Amino acid sequence: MVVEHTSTPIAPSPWSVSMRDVSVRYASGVVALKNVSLDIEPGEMVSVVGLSGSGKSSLIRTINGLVPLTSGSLHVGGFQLETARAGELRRLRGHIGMIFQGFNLAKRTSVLNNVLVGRLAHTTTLRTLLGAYRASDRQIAFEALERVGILPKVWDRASSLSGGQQQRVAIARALCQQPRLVLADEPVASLDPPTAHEVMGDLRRINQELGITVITNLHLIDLARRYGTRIIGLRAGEVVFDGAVEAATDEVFAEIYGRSVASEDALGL
Amino acid sequence: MTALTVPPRRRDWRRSTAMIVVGAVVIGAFWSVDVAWGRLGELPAQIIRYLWLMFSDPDWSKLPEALAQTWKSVAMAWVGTVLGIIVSFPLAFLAARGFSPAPVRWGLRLLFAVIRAVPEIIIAIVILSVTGLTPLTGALALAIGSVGTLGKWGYEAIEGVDPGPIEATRASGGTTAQILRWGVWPSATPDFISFWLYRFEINVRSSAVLGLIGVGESVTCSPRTLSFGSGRPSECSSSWWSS
Amino acid sequence: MAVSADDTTAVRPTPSAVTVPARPGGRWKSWCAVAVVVLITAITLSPQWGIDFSLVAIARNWQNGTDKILLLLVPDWGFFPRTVPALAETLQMAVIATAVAAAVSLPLSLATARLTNPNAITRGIARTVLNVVRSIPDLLYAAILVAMVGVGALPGIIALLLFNVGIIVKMVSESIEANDPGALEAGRAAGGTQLQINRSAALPDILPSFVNQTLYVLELNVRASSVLGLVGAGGLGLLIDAVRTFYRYDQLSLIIVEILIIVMALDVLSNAVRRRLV
Repeated sequence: MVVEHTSTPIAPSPWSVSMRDVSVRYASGVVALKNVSLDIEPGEMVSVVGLSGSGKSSLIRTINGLVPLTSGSLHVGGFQLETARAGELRRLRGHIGMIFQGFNLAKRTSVLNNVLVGRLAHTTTLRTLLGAYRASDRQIAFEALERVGILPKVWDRASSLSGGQQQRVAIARALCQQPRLVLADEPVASLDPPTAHEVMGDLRRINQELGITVITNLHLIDLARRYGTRIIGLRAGEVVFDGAVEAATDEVFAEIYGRSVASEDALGL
Repeated sequence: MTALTVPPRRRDWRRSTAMIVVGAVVIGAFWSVDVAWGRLGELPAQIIRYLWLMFSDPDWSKLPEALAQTWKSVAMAWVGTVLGIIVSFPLAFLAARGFSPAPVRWGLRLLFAVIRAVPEIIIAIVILSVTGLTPLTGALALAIGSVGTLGKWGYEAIEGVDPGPIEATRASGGTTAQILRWGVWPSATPDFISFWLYRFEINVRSSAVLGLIGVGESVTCSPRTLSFGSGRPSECSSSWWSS
Repeated sequence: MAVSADDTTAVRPTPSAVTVPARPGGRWKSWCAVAVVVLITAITLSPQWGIDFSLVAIARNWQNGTDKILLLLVPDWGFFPRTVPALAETLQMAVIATAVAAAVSLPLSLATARLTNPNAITRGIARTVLNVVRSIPDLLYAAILVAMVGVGALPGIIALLLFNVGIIVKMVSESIEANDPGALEAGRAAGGTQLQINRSAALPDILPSFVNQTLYVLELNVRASSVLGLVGAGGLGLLIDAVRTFYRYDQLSLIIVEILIIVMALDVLSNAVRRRLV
C-alpha cells in the first residue's frame, strides 16, 4: 500500500509553559514540588535533572494536568491549569504528547492501534468504541511511524517489538497528537546505551525539525548536556539550578544531586 | 510530497474462522431454542411482587427453625470439606508428577476429571439409595465433589513448587516421604489452606441446594416447595436473612 | 582418602560450645487452629448438634442400594433417543447464557475495576450489586425464576446468566487491576475520555483473560444446566428428576455418561483455544 504525504507540518505553533509558585502536595502528605517558578519558551529543548524523588515526574505531570497543583498558577498554551475543568484538561492533553519510561503501550494490540491512541482527543467516543478511526487519522499515524522509522512494523503486536522499538512507537503515539509540547519522563531509563542515544536523537529531531517544545526528565548528566539546550535542576521539590547547558558544570550537578558526581551518573558511550 | 510505503495488512484467518464458528453456534442456539421470550416482559413485575412478599412481612416465628436449618447445611458443608480434605490430600501427592508411577497418576487424574464433570446433586442422587435421605448423604456428596477439585488443585500446586528445596532434600539423601515433608510441604502449605477454605465456601453454597432432592431437609425455604407453591416467600426471607 | 574417627570428632563442636538462640514463640497458634478444626468437626458430627453421622441407615440400605448402584454400570443405551432433545436444550441454555453473560460482563468488568472506573461511587454500587448476585446459588435462582416466569428453558437461561455474570466480572476485573496501568496513563495523557481509554488501552490487554473466563463459564454452564431441570428449568434435569423417582439408575448412568463426554470434549476444546491465547 502506498499513500501520499498530504498533511501540513505536524506542529502548527509550539507552546510555552509558565509556572508561578507552583506547589504540589499529594494526599499521602508528601510535598513533591515547593514554590516552583519557571518559564519555558516555545521551541525550547529542556532537560530536567534530579535524583529520583526530587519531583521531576511530578513537575512533568503537573504540566499536562495528570497531577493537580495544590497552589500557585500554571499557564500552558492558552490554558490556565489551576482552574481548568475536566473537559478543558482533556483538550489541553490532546495538544501535549507524553513519553514514559515504561513505554506504556497496550501490549496485546497492534502498533497502529497504539499510535491511534494519540488521536483520542480528536475522535468521537463512538468512533473509538467501534475502532473506526477516520482515514485521515490513520494517515497521521502512518506518517508519525514513518518519522521514527518504524512504519514496517505497523501491523505487529506491540509486545513483539524490542524495548527501543516500543519506545519509538510511543514517540509516534505522541507525534500522532500533532503536539505543541512533548513531555518525556525518563524516556531512556529502560533502554541499553546505543538505543538510548537513538531515542534521544529522535526527540532532538522532533524539537529541531518540527519546532515542538520538548521537556525531558533525565538523571544521566551526559545525556542532559548533549541533548538539551537548557537544564533545570530539581532537588527535594525545589529548583536549585536553571540555566544553559554550558553553565551546568560538574559542581552544579554535585549541588543538584547533593553529592559528588560519580561514574554511574553518566550513560557513557 | 513523499510517498509512504505502508506494509500490507496480514489477516489472521484462524481468528476470523473462530469468530464465524462462535457466531454461528450462538445464533443457532438462539434460533433453535424453544423459549417463550415474551414471558421476559412479565419478569420485572414478578420480581417486584416477590421482593414485596419476601421483605414486607417476614415471618419471624420461623426464624429459629431457619437458623437451625442454616446450621445444618453449614455442618453438612463442614463435614463434606473435612472428609474431602482427608481423602484428597494423599491422592493429590500420588497424582503429582515425580511421586508415583505413571498409571497411578493418570488414573487419579481421570478420576478427578470425572468427579468434576458430574454435578454434586447427581452424586447425591446416586448415593442416596444407599445412604438414605439424611444430611450424611449431602456431606458425602460434597466430600466426593471436593475430592475432584481439591485433588486437581493439589497436584497442580505440588507440581508448581520451586524445585530448589526438593533438589536440596534429595541431594542430602532424603527419602520420597522426607522430600514431600521438607521439600514440598513448606512451600505448598499456603496454597493448600487457601484451596480448602475456598472449597468450604463452595460447599456451603452447594449444601443449600442439595435440599432440593430432600437431602438435609431444609424445607422452610427449599426451592422445590417454593416453586410448587406450597412454600411461602415470607418464610423464605427469614431463612435468607439468617444465612 | 580415609577419614579417621578422630578427624570427624575434631570438627564437631562440643555441645557446650554453641549457643542456641531461644526458639521464637507463636507455634501454639497453628496447634490452636488444628484444635479448633477438630472441635468444630466433632460438633458437626455429634448426633445432637450436627448431622447424624450414623452408619445404621447405610447398613440398613446397603443391599437394596448397592443393587441400584450396580445398575449404573450397565447404561440403558436404548434410552438414548429420549435424551437427545433434553441434551440439546441443555446445550442451548448453556450457549445462550454464556453469550449474553459475556456481552453483559465486559462493560460491567470495566465498571468494577478501579483502574478503568475511577469513580468510587458508581464502582461501589456495581461491586455491591454483583456481590449480592454472586452469593446466590444458580439452582436457587432457577427455582425462584420458575415460579416467576413458568417452567422451561427461559428461567434456566436467566439463572445461568446471573450466575455467570458474577463469575466473569469478578475474574476479569481482578485481571484488570493486575494489569500494567501504563497504557491507561498514556491514554489519559493523550486527552482521551475514560470510555475511550478503556476501549483503546484497557480492552486489548484484558481480552485474553475475558475469553478465558468465558470458556470456563461455558464449561460450568454445561454442567450446571444439566441439573437446572430438577426445579423445572428445562434441559437434562427434567429427565434426571424423572429417572431418579423410579430409581432407573441404568438410565441415569446414560445421562451421566453424556454429561461426562460433553464436559470433557469441551475441556479439550477450550484447552486448545487457551493455548493460542497469550
